[in-house]
Amino acid sequence: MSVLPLQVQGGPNSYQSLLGDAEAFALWNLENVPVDLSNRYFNDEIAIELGEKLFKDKSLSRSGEVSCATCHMTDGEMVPNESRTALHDRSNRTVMSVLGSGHQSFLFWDGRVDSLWSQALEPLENPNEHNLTRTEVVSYVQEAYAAEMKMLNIPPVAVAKEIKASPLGNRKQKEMWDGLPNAAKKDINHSFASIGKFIAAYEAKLPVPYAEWETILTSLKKKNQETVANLDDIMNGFKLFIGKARCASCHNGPLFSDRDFHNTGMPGLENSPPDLGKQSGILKLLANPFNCFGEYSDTEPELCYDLLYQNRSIERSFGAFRTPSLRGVSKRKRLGHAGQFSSLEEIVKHYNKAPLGPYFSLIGKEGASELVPLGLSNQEILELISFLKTL
Amino acid sequence: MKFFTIWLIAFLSASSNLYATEQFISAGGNYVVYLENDLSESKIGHYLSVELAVTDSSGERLSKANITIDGGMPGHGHGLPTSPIISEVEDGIYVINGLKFTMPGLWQIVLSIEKSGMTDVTVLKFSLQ
Repeated sequence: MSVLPLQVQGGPNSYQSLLGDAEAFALWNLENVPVDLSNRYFNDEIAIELGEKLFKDKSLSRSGEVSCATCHMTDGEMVPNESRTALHDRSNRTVMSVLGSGHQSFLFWDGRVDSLWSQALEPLENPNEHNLTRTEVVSYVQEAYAAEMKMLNIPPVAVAKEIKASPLGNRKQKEMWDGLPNAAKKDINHSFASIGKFIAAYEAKLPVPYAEWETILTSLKKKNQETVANLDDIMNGFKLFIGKARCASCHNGPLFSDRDFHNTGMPGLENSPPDLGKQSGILKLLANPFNCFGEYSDTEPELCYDLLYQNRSIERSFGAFRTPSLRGVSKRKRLGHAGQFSSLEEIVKHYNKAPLGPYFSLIGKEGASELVPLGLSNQEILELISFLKTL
Repeated sequence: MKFFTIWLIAFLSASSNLYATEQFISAGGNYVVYLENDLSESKIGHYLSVELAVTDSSGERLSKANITIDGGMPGHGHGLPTSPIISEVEDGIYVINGLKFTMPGLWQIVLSIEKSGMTDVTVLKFSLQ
């Protein structure tokens, strides 16, 4: 960003009236990450340290080349990395940002898990990602990190390294899993869940760094004469964001996300089955043994508010996807839950046009998108994008 | 809770003024909902519980009513973000648990109250900052 003495029309004094609204979107007003009661290691320093090691450990994969960081970090920053090889089919989902994920109630684009720790487990067994079975995850971690596991009082599970067993694996892996005694399955699951909890404890503590937006707000508050060259575009863009463009309906708060799920008429992928989003997510969540109600959760079901009160409307969840945080959005190469758009301009034009969205004819409805056509001019679209680039 | 009950009994028997709470009359005039919370002061993004007392039009407590909750943000075209659960805790006194509001703006909660075959609707409208 270039900093020039202020010569442009407007100036910091003319945007003072916007500061009140802008404060609601400033990171210094972000609440502390809520404690995840279902994760007993949430504030455990040893667990957090181990979580970081696991997050960055490429040996936690069949190929030996994939760690969580492989997809969730770019050049040392917590920015989604879409550069994985084409061998792995990620076409129907873009990588989500880890930053601020501790503030979300449900994870993944379709909200199919209700905790950060149960989210961390899924990629480990996903054949398109880490491609391991849970017995392999447990036997690797308890050997490679024996000292830390001992400090955390996780007893080793008696499972041979060669065993490849999982209820979510291929046919052979499922058969191996079915052949295990129930007591062994529970021990493996407990250890597996703990591994997810260490990773989650690390992720939840990651600070969300201040962006150019915070720098601009600080300058405006001080009525500083030195600021960015395109301040007018940025602040006009912010006015549109909270006004005519209706973005703040969902993208609100310091993380620019209401932590909810909405149908925004996103196009489906060609030659792909219907992507029902939150609707299929709810069913998967309720069936997940690692959800808040389950025996691997460290809290009582009565305290699982997100799961207890989650919206169960089938119609509301049909084709609904999470409101992602817009922090760092300009650094992302693929936008939308299936990477339907490759640039901010493309996706803003989608919102401007407000198409009905796919699949609703399946249930006899014309559409259910919450969008309405915005009537933004080309100049307004540019201004909106200028603002989004500061996040 | 106990304070609210004592207060309500005192209120209903004394028919004193209403400024301590708000009352919402249902669309058909059959029921009255009394709310102690000021919903416009709800903290965004946090779960909250709301106590309400329900009477019929003559002021008699309405116990064992079937009450369902709906609502949302009419200006934004979306419903409530959660599925709150309502339960009766004492005669005519109900608690809604699991309400959550995700953003500032105009919200409404629509209570559909049914007892003995008579259904009526009460809409609670409020604005969050």
